[in-house]
Amino acid sequence: MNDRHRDSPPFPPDLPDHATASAWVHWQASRSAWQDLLQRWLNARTDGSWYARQCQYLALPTEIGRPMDLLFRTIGQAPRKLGKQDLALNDAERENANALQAGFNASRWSVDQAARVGMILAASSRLPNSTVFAALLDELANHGDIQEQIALYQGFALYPRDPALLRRAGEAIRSGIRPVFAAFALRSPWPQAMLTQSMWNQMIVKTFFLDLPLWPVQGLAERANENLGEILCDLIAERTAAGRSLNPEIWRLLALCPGERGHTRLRQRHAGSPAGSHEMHALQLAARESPHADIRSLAPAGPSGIAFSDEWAQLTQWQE
Amino acid sequence: MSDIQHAIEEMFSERSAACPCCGATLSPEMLRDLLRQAEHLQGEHQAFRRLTPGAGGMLIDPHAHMIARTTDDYEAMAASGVVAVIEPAFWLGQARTNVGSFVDYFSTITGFERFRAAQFGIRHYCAIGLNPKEANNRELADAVLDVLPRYLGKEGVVALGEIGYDEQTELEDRAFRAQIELAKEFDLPIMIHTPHRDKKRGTRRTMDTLEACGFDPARCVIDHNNEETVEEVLDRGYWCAFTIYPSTKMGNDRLAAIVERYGPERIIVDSACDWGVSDPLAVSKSARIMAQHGLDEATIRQVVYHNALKVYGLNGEMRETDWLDPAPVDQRTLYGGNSVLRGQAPRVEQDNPDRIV
Ligand SMILES: [Zn+2]
Ligand SMILES: [Zn+2]
Repeated sequence: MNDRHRDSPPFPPDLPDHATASAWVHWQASRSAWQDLLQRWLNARTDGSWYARQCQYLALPTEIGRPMDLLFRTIGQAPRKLGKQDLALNDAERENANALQAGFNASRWSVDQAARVGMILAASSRLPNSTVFAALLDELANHGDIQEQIALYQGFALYPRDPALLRRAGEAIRSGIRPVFAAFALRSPWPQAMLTQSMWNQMIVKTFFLDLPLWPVQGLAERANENLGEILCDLIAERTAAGRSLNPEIWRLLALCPGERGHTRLRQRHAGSPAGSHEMHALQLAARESPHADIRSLAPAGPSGIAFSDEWAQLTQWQE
Repeated sequence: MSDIQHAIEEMFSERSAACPCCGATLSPEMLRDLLRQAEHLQGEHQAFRRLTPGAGGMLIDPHAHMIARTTDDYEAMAASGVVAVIEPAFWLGQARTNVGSFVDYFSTITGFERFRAAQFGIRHYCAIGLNPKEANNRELADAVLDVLPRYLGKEGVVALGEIGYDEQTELEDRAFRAQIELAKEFDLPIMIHTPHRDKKRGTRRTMDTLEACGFDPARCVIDHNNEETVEEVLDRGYWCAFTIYPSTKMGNDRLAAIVERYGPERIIVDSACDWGVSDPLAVSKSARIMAQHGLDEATIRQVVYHNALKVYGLNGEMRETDWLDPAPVDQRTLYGGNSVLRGQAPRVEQDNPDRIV
């Protein structure tokens, strides 16, 4: 095997070495729990024994052969061996997953995707630290076909929360392949926990450019920032000038982090939208979530404990 | 003579006329020629219309270098009935200087290009291999052969190809044989590029090598055939593909004549469209011309659809259900919920120029 193209320079981690090292040890402990979980899901749906065998091979600290080639091969074969049907988790399984990792949401995963993530976890059991794990992800992503890339980025939900992975995350956000971007950005707790502010803002704004729904992004309120509010104001102005439509979820985001311009925009739009219109509904829903009392006052008092994501999912016709 | 021709003869007889658009003089000979072309086209359209009902109109272009084509081409191909394309790995016109260029190329045809095709409702598959031209760079060839196993097992890889001979050098022979072994190891059919120079002997040598390596002809497509090679290729049990080039080499009419003579068994038509002068609609045009030649629908369907599906479906990576009834996860991620069966239009967001950002 030709090793030249395999060694990528490590991303300089921001954390002190000992902190990174203990985070990796901690992650290894959770990793085996997730692997058990994925194994149970697969056993219930397909030939789990083939999958289990591959994971064993991948975890062996072998000197012989080409361990990377084995990983490429098993990941490549997963759909053929296991099928591509939806995981279709039941309620108990969903709760189980969420208990192990808050925000972990495999509701749209397929069997082969779960297996591919499981294989990456299995192969990482013999790695010494997050930097090497990040290099493994680079290697897989750089040689990955489109569905492999999708699975790899979905897996971020379960990967270590380590700055060493930020560079790979940046590639997902940069991707021109919509489903690859979506695999990283939607329904995952990793981005909100790890992205720098500028990366977060790029990711959020790009969901509008890719016509993706925003509500499946986790941490919208927690990560809202004024800088993002400014970018959104410009985007709204740009689209308005061009006479183009906008995903109404943009009002929700703006209401979460309006600067001075944002306040004005929201009030203007509210005054100009006809009662009962789609946009008015969006504006009122957005206002209710705002941390600013003057914006909240734009909306009639709604029922408390409203599940915003469900409301937005119903309101937006934007499909992934 | 048709009514229109009669009318023209009466109007102009041996006189010349002025072209209505540019004012140039049209001789009677030119007028007759124009007329012949118009009638020819009309005949094709009628024949094609007779062909379409009930046939589903589905086509496969099993050899298309789509990374060289525009979105206009994708739209036109989809409109012509192409439901699937196979993109074989080949050279890029410009020789590559390092293995990283190959890695990125293989990743492109298994990655971004698949996504691009899906936006137009076309399923994209590929063949992975080291082409004979670049096999002549020994050091590079070794590095590429090393990296091939990473790609051969991937989803949507339906063959090892295009491989074979170009100048028939020793280095080409070496890479060819190594890849035949890889095809056996990965249980892949092979797509053969036959040399354009010294074609007849090169094609024979290709088959000799395949057989010396114990490769099953029933799992191998020999491409770029012509009247001189077809018989031996079919006799020896291979699939026999014809690339339709717009001006030279194999044209639509010649293909129709070959199908008339040899029947549709194991014959495949493709466009091999790339950066050069080539026609991404060659498969649908061939279907039309075969219909005009009076070939029956079942025969035509076999040549423009079923044969390719059969041989490139051998490793299970390309199935009719992929476009008729795709897996939910593929519909969600790649096809925007579309399947040919349900007749949905492919999702190409006309009003959003930012989709690829
Ligand atoms: Zn060729
Ligand atoms: Zn070609």
